[in-house]
Amino acid sequence: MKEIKIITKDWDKIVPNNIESYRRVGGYSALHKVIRNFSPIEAIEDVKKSGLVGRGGAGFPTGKKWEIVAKNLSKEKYFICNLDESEPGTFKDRVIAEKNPHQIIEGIIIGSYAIGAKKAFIYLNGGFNIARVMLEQAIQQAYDNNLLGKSVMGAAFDLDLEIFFGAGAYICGEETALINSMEGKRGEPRNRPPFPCDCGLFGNPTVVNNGETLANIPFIFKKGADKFFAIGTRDCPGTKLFCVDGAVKRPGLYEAPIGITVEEILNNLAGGIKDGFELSFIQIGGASGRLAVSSMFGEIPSYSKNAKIPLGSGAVLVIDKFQDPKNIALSWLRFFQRESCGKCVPCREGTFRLKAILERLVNGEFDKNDREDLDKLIWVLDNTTFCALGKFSVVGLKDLIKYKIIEELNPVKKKKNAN
Amino acid sequence: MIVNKILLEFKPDKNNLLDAIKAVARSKGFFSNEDAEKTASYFKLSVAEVFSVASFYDEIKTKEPSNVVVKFCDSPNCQSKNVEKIINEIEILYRQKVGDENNRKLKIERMSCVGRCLDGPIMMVNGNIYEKVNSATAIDILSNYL
Repeated sequence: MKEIKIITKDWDKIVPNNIESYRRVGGYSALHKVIRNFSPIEAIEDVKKSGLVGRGGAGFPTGKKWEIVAKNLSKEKYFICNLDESEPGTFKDRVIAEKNPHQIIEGIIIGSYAIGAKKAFIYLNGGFNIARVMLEQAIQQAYDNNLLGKSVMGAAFDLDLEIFFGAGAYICGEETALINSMEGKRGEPRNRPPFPCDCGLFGNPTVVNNGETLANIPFIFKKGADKFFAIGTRDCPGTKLFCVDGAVKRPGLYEAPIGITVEEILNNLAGGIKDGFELSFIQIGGASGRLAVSSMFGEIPSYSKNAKIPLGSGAVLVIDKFQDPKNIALSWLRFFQRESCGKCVPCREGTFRLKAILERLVNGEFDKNDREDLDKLIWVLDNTTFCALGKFSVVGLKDLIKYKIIEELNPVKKKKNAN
Repeated sequence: MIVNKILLEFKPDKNNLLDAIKAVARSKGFFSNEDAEKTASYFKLSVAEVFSVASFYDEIKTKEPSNVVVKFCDSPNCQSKNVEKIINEIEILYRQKVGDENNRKLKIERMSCVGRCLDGPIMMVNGNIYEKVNSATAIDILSNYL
């Protein structure tokens, strides 16, 4: 496959905290072009034409989101870049912010110009210390070069950019919880509708975009929306960063066009399974992602609605047969139980009970009642929780049962499977 | 007294609340009930409102923490790198379970992913991150703190 790179293309050519070196590879030329030649509506048209969808996990079309906010007549609008990355196994946003913070900032400025926001924020995970220093320096440099502040690049457009630090809560990556957290409330998700596009930060229309989504924006304006649309699949154009980890020869962060199959991720990007190991399953999209077993290697993980494997955050975890799948399942539930915000009962109690059942399963104390409760709890978490966290907590577990990776759940059937 | 001084650095707007709580907590390691009262009167909020925010986040402790807090990431990625074995050995060595609060000197905790999966298993002692630990190095690092 041809190497097509958008986000990581210039990483080895630039010094991350130096605006001049970013400019040398064409940095901020997209912003220049947008501010000089495009009206906000034209800029949004271009993003819509490019077909860019959000890279945080849900895959909402970015252009559409911008358009809703741009059309709102409210005087005060906000633009937020979501860098509260805490999905287990995912580290793409942190690496972008460390390797090329200006790329994200350029995306933020273009986005704010398009929707007419005067104030933009970066919600940064409180634990990302290197990314914090890089972004702070990059923002200062942008202010010094008149890319932020009063009349950006001489145009009638003012923008202030501030970093807001989170304090370690997974749920604050959900956009309404993120907004609550910024307003000084508990970081619990809000009811939707109203969506943040209509009623977000301090009740004003707000765009919340993932850091990787914004890092794609400069390319769209530099090379043209058509060029971006030509990469990847029809539903989800562009490239994606994959964080490949686990029992592979070359774990690491890779960029590849969307449309790459599970097998290609495993063999072409990560160099295949480590010698002497045997594949059990692959989880795609972090702890809330679905599983792929060897019969599904031809599937294409993507954000399209009929994709069998949603791409999620782009984390790829390869689990070998030496690992006990029960431990992995317990690790998911421990994570979701810890990170459940406590707002709704099904999630707060459900994750706790399910964790207790899995602890019994790992310790060999799993009995018939637990088997019944397990199914009930999975159903409750899947269908009744307030936000998506409860649903996410059982995605992997459901697949483990569906693909019969955990066999001990049905001791009677276990003997049959042995043949 | 110091708490009031720290609070004065922030405008009493509600959107500064989290930053103010974090600053107070950082100054002495945790955010006590008295701190919550002082913060509440400064921000003109109810104590419950302030405390509910403070207790929500992992980074902010609302009880006085043990002298040494060791955390292990137990996300699936670190789990696949055998972090459970390290946790077990630490538990046996110091004769206490994960989450036990009786020991004033040491507390063992599990934590969520910090996004350094390639260098896992990840261990964090008093906020300092150590990468690629194994049972021997984990015990070694921890004994330097105790």
